[in-house]
Amino acid sequence: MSNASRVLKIVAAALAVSGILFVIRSEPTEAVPLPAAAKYLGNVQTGNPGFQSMGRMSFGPDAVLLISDPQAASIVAIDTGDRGPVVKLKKRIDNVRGLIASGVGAKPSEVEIVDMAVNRKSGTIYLAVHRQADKQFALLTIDGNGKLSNFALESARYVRIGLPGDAKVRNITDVEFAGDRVLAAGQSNEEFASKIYSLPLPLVHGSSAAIFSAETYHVSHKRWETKAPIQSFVPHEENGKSYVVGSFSCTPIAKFPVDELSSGAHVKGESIVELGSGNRPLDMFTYERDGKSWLVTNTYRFHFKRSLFGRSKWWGVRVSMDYLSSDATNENAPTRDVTKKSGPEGIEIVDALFGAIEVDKLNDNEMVVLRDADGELGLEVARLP
Amino acid sequence: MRRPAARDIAQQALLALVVLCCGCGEPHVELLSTSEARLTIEELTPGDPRSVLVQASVLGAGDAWRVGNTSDETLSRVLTLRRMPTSSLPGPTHGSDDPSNASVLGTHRVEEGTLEFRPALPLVTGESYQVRFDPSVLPGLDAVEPVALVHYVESLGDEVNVARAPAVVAIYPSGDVLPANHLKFYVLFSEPMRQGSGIFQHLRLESTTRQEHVARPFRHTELWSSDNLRLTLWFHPGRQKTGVNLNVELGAILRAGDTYKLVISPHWRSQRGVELGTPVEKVFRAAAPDHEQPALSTWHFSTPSRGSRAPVRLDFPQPLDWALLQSELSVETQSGERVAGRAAIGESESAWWFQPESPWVEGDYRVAVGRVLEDLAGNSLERPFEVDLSAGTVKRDTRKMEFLPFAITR
Repeated sequence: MSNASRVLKIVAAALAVSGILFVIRSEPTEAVPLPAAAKYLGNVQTGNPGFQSMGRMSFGPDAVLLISDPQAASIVAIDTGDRGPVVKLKKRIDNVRGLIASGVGAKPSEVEIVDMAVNRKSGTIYLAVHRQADKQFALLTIDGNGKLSNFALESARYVRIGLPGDAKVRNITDVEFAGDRVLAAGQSNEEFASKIYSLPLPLVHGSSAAIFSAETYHVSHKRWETKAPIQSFVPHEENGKSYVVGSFSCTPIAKFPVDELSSGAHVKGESIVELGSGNRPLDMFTYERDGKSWLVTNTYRFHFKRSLFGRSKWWGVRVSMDYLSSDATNENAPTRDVTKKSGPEGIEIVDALFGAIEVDKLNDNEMVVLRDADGELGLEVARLP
Repeated sequence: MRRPAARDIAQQALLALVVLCCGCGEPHVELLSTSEARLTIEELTPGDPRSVLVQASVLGAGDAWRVGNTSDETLSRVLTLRRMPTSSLPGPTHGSDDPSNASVLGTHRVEEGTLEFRPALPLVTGESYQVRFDPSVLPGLDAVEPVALVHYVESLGDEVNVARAPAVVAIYPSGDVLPANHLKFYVLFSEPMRQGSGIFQHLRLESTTRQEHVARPFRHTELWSSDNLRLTLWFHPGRQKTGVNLNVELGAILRAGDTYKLVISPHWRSQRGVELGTPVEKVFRAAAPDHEQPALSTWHFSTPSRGSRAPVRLDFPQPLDWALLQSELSVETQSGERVAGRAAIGESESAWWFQPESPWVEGDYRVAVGRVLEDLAGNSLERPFEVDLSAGTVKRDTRKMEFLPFAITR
């Protein structure tokens, strides 16, 4: 722009009357009750759920997001209203930590991604973020264009449900919709105990969950039975019966009948697959491919330096769901052949999961992976095998 | 009603000396005030620089300052707030594709001719943020120069008191001999510490006998008390359980007879941002593994006499879990009514006593004990940490409590 035209514009502006800002923007209005509220949520509140912390989270039906609040020993369900259409992440985002850090106004080293969940109805990626400098938590979203946004909790439609025995529950390892209920697994900060909580649907604000099983057990070498905390789980239907497929901190993948959980008896999970020592399963989901069902899990590897496959601390496998109905359980459960990329049949390393810190299903063909590459975090959509 | 306690204002008034020729051959010189970009930062809570409202407007722009149909995306380029890297100098910066230079997330809204921005989260103390208002991206306002302010978020009150460092006030078990299959420590702090998965870099275990670090001994699961002052630090159960693969491959974490040091780094910061300052060490010797359940029958019991406020005292043959001793033991009447009083834990968590508020009256009482009470190796009254299934059928006892009756007699 020439100096002359700049001057003219300045003059024109100077002669004008003081500026008025015209706005055509709607103020927030009270949300219209949505189907999710009626079917899955009861006594829905509008406002800030007041998170003391954010832990594991997962999406259920109708864009309802479950978020654990371990510090408050409770589960919050939010009707996100994010019902599509699906726009999946178009291209990989590099330096996700930097992006999030700038979004929450903190140094990248002081930002922790606590968990990730993908809304399959919209493709939007939800991240629970912890700003360590002042212990602030935020729920952020990344849309198909890679745009980072803050999910405005101030006007959220939510319900909060307490977990009994709350004084000692300080780690909620997973929370998932499971048929006619929501299940959560929690760990005590005093006794060596893992508890499973059942929250019947609809989730009613102010109610309290029931403990369906006080303990889970794990048997090693046909001889030693110990309590074992469940790390993560997914619901599973088999021959009309409901199961929870879960992973222990100490490697095996096991299944628990939900009906048995409800009896309140001591429940022993049946180990169905052993992934090899030193794997701490992180996330789990199932998908269908060519009429066959697979379980996908990413794990933190204790022995990553001496692993034959990949050097990352994180990796993942898929396991044929046929193993779930196999009679070969516990000490007879198959163990992954740690010398090969796959084997025995139906247990395979998934290349797309090397470095996967967080993973969630987008659809039966794709997953969203938050990947570590030498300390840099990238977010991308990857194909399922 | 907001009351500005601190208010930063930036105003870019372009004063132009304009030479106009009116045809008379003589030049006239007029001083014109042009459009002004105006920017303010206001504290929403007086005295708290973390919660701010940024307000921007253009004075003297008339209809040009019209953003009725302006998208959120454009508004987010017009008014930005960025954390300034520690090394950068104050001054306007321009938008960048570098994600780590993106604006802080928040809400833009237009209120009475003013464009407002409110960050989604409070700002962080000790950080500087640059607020930049650039109306020139809007049509008709390309002549308006951007303005910028730097907002430094001062520490609040006690935060600045770096002289008062946080401290580890206790580590339990307090004894210096632990079973080789020991399970957990309780670390008590004087104030809340920074949390997050990074805390485990501040914790290590050293074998002083072998002069080496013990590789990854802890379960990386954060378990804090509700007041955020107590961390439960677990040894990795996969290495402490007999027959579990990590135990088989790597062995147990502790070897009986060796001496160890639990070390907490001096660089762990409190939530206020102040470091512990000095390393904290707990030295202990590993004894033989303990696979025995605690049993009430082995506890030594001292009962007081009527009319006194002397305590009921229990002595255990082994240390028990410090936290569970506080929550799982109580004194009640035979009919189950809780007796008011104060409990205390003795040396090395090997004793417990209870002093009533009022003098003992004659009658039958009992100490109620929750069966989840554990020893240091996770063996509880309910079950051993590890059940040997080869030893026969496991008998399940589903009682929640056990009782130790005692009588106060004359």
